Amino acid sequence: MQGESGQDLALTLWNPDRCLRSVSPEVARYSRGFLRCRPEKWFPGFAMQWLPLAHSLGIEIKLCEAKPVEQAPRRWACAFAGTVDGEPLGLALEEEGAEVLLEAVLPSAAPRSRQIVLEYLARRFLSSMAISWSGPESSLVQFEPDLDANQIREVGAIKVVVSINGAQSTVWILLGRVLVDRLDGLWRRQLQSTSRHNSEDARVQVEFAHLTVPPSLLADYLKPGTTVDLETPVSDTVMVVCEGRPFLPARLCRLGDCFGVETIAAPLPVFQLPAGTTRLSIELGQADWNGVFAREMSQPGAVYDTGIRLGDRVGMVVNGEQVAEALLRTYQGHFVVSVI
Amino acid sequence: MDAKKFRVLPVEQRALVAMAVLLDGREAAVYLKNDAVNGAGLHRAALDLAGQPPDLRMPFVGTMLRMALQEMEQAADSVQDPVMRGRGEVESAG
Repeated sequence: MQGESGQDLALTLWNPDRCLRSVSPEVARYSRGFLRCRPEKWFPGFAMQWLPLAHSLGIEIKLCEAKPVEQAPRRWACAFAGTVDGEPLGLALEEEGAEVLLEAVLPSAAPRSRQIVLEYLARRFLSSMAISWSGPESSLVQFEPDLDANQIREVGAIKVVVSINGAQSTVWILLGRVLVDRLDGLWRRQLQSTSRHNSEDARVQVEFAHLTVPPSLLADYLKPGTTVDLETPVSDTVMVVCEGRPFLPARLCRLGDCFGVETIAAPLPVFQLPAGTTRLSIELGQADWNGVFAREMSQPGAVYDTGIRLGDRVGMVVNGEQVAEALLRTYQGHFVVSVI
Repeated sequence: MDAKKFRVLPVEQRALVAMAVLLDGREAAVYLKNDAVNGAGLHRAALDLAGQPPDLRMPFVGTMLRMALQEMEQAADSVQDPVMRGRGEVESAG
């Protein structure tokens, strides 16, 4: 659909402030490293540390999940503290999780015994982590009986879900900034070193949509006042494109006053350009990504701060050159652009 | 059964070490060693306790745990119900 400047179409403003999910600067900062890491890879022998205890108690313990998160819930039944090279670390359990553990280890125990068992299991957990750590540098890990875990200024956490005789218990590992930075850097370095091929520097474009237009009609599409239907449903989905080919499926988000781009897990489409047509892309903006950054962004959930202020202006681009500017609007559930 | 290194610990640590040895035996010493305040003491105490003759170890450690827990309960009770001294003197003076 293409509207001439004389027609009055009922277009709706597209307001990114209202349509897009907000992402905090902390989440964006760690989205390519810590929040994408797989902690269980760094502790390969952790489960083995618990086999003898499980065997002697006649229980089955299984690690279900170890996942980094931005924050742990603060409804703990008990919490303990330790340090890694002097940096604080917390171990916390919610009521339900503590009950599952206690029922398996010391059923029907008196309150004081329960507290002692939980403290010992926390010490054991911390020691097991220290023993099974396979990272590049060894660390001094200590249990701190006099440190209050509630005082730890948590910047990230790791959620560890274990199954004990079929019932699940979640242990939250609380981490301060130094430890999160350390794990963030470690994951990103390991990502680079395990990359199958060297990623090259790339110029990428963030596209809302593209159209294939006969060259003879291009001028009509670019005339100021024209409204062009992008034939794309309204959503936060965009495509990161490189050299005219899809590179990463993504969605837009809000990072403060600017657009962010978050990689999503989705199949890459194939751009088909019929013979005799030109690709007219509707772009939010362009960026130069070095190979390292491109590799990090390839992880679903990774966030990139475009630095482009929130708004409805888009570029109309042909062969890498911006040929017009437009305002993004919506019409009957589709994205349209009004050329300015 | 001496367990001297165990007996010198404060009551809370004795309860912890006894519970640890009941659960993990000699391995408990490894898991207690990284205590920032008294790692060496807990480690030695755990080895001390776990080093008891095998046929006597479980009942002995169980007894040590029970005694430590009782001591902790008594200490908690005496904090909650302090003895009111001096009231009789005030009443007799009145």
